[in-house]
Amino acid sequence: MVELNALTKSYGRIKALDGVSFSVEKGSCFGLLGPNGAGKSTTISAIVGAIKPDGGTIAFNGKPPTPAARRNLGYVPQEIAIFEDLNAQQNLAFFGALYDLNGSKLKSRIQAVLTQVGLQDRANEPIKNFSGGMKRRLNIGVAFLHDPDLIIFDEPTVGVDPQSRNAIFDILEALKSQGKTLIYTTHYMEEAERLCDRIAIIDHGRVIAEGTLDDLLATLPARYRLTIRFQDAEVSTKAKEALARAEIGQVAEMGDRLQIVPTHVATSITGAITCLQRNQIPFEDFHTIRATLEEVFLNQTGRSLRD
Amino acid sequence: MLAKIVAIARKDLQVYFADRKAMLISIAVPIAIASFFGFVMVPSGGSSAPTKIQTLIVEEDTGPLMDEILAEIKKNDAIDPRIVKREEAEEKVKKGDVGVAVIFPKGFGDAAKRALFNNQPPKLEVLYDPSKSMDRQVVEGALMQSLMSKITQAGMTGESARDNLEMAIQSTTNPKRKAAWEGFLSAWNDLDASGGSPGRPGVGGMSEPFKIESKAMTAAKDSDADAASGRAHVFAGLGIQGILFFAIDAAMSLLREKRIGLWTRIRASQTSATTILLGRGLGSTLIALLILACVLAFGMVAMGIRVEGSWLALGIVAAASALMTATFGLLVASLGKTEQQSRGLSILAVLMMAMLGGAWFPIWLMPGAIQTVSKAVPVRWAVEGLDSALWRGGGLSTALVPTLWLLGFSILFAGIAAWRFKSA
Repeated sequence: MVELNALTKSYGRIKALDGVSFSVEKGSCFGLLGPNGAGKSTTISAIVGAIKPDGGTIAFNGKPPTPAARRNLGYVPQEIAIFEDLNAQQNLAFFGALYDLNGSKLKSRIQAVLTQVGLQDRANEPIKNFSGGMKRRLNIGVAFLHDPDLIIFDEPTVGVDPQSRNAIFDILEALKSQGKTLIYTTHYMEEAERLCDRIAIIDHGRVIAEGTLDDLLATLPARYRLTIRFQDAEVSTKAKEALARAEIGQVAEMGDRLQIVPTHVATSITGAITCLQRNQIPFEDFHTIRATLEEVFLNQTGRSLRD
Repeated sequence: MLAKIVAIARKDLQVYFADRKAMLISIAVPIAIASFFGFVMVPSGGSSAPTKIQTLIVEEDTGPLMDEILAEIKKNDAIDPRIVKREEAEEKVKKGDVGVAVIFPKGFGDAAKRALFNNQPPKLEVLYDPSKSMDRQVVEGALMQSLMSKITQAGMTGESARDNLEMAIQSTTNPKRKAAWEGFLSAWNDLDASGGSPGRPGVGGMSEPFKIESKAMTAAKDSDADAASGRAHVFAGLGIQGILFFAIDAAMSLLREKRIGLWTRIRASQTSATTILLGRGLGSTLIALLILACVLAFGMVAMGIRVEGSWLALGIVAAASALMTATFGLLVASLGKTEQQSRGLSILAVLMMAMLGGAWFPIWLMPGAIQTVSKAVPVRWAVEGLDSALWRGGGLSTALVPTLWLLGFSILFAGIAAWRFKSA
């Protein structure tokens, strides 16, 4: 549905976008994951047409984006971009007018949106009286008022409490189930993992990895970690020496526990347990955890996603 | 495009009316300032007579002419004389208690009369507080008027004139000048012998050549209306300043909208920057017009301001002024990067424009160079246009020049704003 090819954009000497390319399938949720300042918002601004890229191309359904094509997208800015002095109905009516909605069509769409974001009972109340979560929901509602096929979310959950975040996820999942195409930028890997079918990791204006979650995790040396907890740090040190000799993977000591990046998950599990039993080292807890996008980012850039 | 412009303007009006407190403040503040200035600068009570300038007089000359001179000074509308000793005069002026003191040195009256013929004028000492140099100019003007009147009369009439002429003949060594003075004295004696000597009772003769009669050139027909004219200028000027401050608020709200992504969100609807600016401009113009109308309406109801000229001219100039301030707001928003930066600079710009444009003081009070510069200040044309319609009794045609200037400034401001927003 949307294709970006070698998109570039500079502000003075700063390269905000340095050849960004990816494609988004119709009806999918595409995640754009990266730290602050990576180029996510600039990419989004280029897609919605708010800025003109210096180079590269954008295509909607294989064609250069026309104003009409761009009107078929909805945009949720990072901040709450609604008019606080107006009520929910007035806000929606204003944005509806910008999309040429009027009369009964506008009224029915306003009702549908208010219902979907759970604000039908607060339609005539000034936004400034709303809670942060309610404002966020309306902020999202404005974006799909005109029933677009593509909706772009620019970090819609920044500073949102867990309850409101879940409410926002419910809205996103409902939109996805309606067949909408979603582009979702975030620096929260958990959100990308939960919501997105495909993910592009972006850093310093470049896409450094792209694919499904499995594709991205496959770029790591191992998709799982073994974590073993011991009685205390002294036992942990003793176990580390034994496991290192057993050559089952890279072993890192973290206080009273060890984390092992196994060379092969199945054999490493049995190998680790056998090694500990043979050396008569007791352990309190043993479990495997799946690698995360955080580790993918760390693996690709040598930095943490939250740095 | 038109529907979007209307939608944006309607939204701006909704936002303005939604915050009732802010709306009332935007109207009440210019009214309060204008009322204050109106009372201070134009005293109520039906008279617009200027306040007299307190002036200390040191009377070191005790000659007979001094009494006449003092009586004449007391009649002057511009100054309020008080006789004091030199020491007191010096101290009070130095402290700034009084702006001006005039010292009449010993023998001033006689010397002044003789000076009409011998070109040796006595010196009149004027002490003044440098912070009140305007007072000095007014007092000097008033003195010139009073002294010329009395000294000319005393020096050029009857025996006094003959004595002065004889003294002039004796004191000159230049034969040609001596002959001229003797001819003058002979003519004088002939005139006296024929009964036409100046200064004789019932005959007339040389006296003050003119009297000044001041008449306020307003369309006002009575003293109440005359006072209201002064207030009309104050309300016009401070009304314009008020809507310029509203324009700053509008600019700040636009910058805030850019900061929180509203601008991008609106642009994402494929609404062009030009359309957004036209919508914002329309909304701000209507609100500015409303504020200006409220300020002037208050002035009319509470301060007795009248529209002595054309109502239509008033409406046209007010609308052009509102458009100019709306585009000024767009200009501020387009030049500013952050609200904090822009607010301080734009407040300074508004205050400078108000001052240079004659919103605070009449333009004629300013130095010549500043008066020339003020032609490049839009406030000047707004105030001039409103003044004309309100109290100068100007017709529709008098609105033409100010309106054209205001429209020119509007186009300039809007053009720069559009260029800046498009290239951002």
